[in-house]
Amino acid sequence: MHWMVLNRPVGLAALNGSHVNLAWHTAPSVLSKTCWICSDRPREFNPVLSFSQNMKKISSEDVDKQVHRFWAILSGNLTGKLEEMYSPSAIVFTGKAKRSESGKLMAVRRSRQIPGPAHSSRAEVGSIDVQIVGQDVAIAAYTYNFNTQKILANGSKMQINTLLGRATQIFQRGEDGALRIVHEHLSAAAPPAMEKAGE
Amino acid sequence: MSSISSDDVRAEVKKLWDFLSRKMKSQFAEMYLSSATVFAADARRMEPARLMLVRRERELLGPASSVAAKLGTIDVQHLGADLAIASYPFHLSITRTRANGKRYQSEVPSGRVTQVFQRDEKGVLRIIHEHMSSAEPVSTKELPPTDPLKHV
Repeated sequence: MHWMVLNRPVGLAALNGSHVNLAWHTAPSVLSKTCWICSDRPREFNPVLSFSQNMKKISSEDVDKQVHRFWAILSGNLTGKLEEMYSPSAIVFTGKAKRSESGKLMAVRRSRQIPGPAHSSRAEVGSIDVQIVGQDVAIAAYTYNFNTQKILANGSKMQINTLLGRATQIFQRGEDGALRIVHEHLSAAAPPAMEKAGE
Repeated sequence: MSSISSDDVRAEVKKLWDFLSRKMKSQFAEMYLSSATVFAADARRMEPARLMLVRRERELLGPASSVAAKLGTIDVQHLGADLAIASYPFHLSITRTRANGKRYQSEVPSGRVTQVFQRDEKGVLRIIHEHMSSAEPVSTKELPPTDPLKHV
C-alpha cells in the first residue's frame, strides 16, 4: 500500500494500480478518503507524508467508548461482532489461560458464549485509566465486575460472578480510522464465585 | 532513530528479571518510567509503578528475601517506532519479608505478564505499563523465623 498526501487535486489516472488513502489539504480542515484504483499497470509512488499524520489523535473519550462497547457486546446488551473489536494480530491473556492466544480466535469463541436475551448478564466497569502513548495507541486499564451465566456440557446452568476483575486493553487506530484492541490482559484478584443457576 | 527490534525487547525483559533476582534496586527501578502504572499479581487495583517499587524493595530486595524466575516464550508486538508490547508466561518462586518481619515462600506456577515498553527521550526502552497475573492460585506458606538452611 502507498501512503501519500496530495496538496492539490490530481487526476485519478495518475494513481492507477494503487490502493491509496487520499487526503486533500483544504485549509483549515483535511478531507480524506480511502479507495482502490484498478489498473493492469501498477505504478510506483514515493510517499510524501505519512497518512497517520493527518489522522485524528486518539482521545480518552474514544477509548472509554470502546471499552464500554466491548462490555456491552460481551454482556449481550449490544448487537455487534466482538471479533471486529480486535486487530487481526491481537494477542490476549484471558482470565484463566496459562498462555496467550490470538485475539480473533478467542473473540469467536467468546461470542458463542454471549448470553441470549433470556439470560441476565451484567458488567460493571470501574474508572478507566487511559494513557495515550503516541499518535495512534492508547492503554486502557481498569477494574470490572462481570456476572454471567454459563451452560455446562450436561445442560445445567452456572452463574459466574467475577469480582475484582482487572483489565488492560491496548488500542490502536487502524488505517480505516477504527480503534481496535491489539493486546488484552484480563485477570482477577480472586477466583470467580460460581453457583448453580435456576432453570 | 531505528525501530525497536524484538530482540531489543526480549533483552530488556531478561534484564528486568535479572536485576530483580540479583537485587539490583536502582537498575530495577530505572526500568520503569516515572509515569508507569502496574497491576501487581495479587493487587485488586492498579497503582503507580513507584509504589510497587517501594513495596518490592521492602519485600523482595532485602537480605532475607529471594526471587527466582523462569520465563516462557516472549511474544513481542510492535506498535510504531517507539512502542512495543512484551507478553509471556513465567514461573516464579519468591521468598518475601512482610512489614511485620514474617517471611513467606510463594510459588507462582502459571504467571502471565504484559509489559508495554516505550523508548524514552534518551532512546532507552522503559516500561510504561505492566499487568501481572496468575492463571492458578498462588501457594504461600509462612517460613519459620530463622531459616534453618542458614545454620547448615
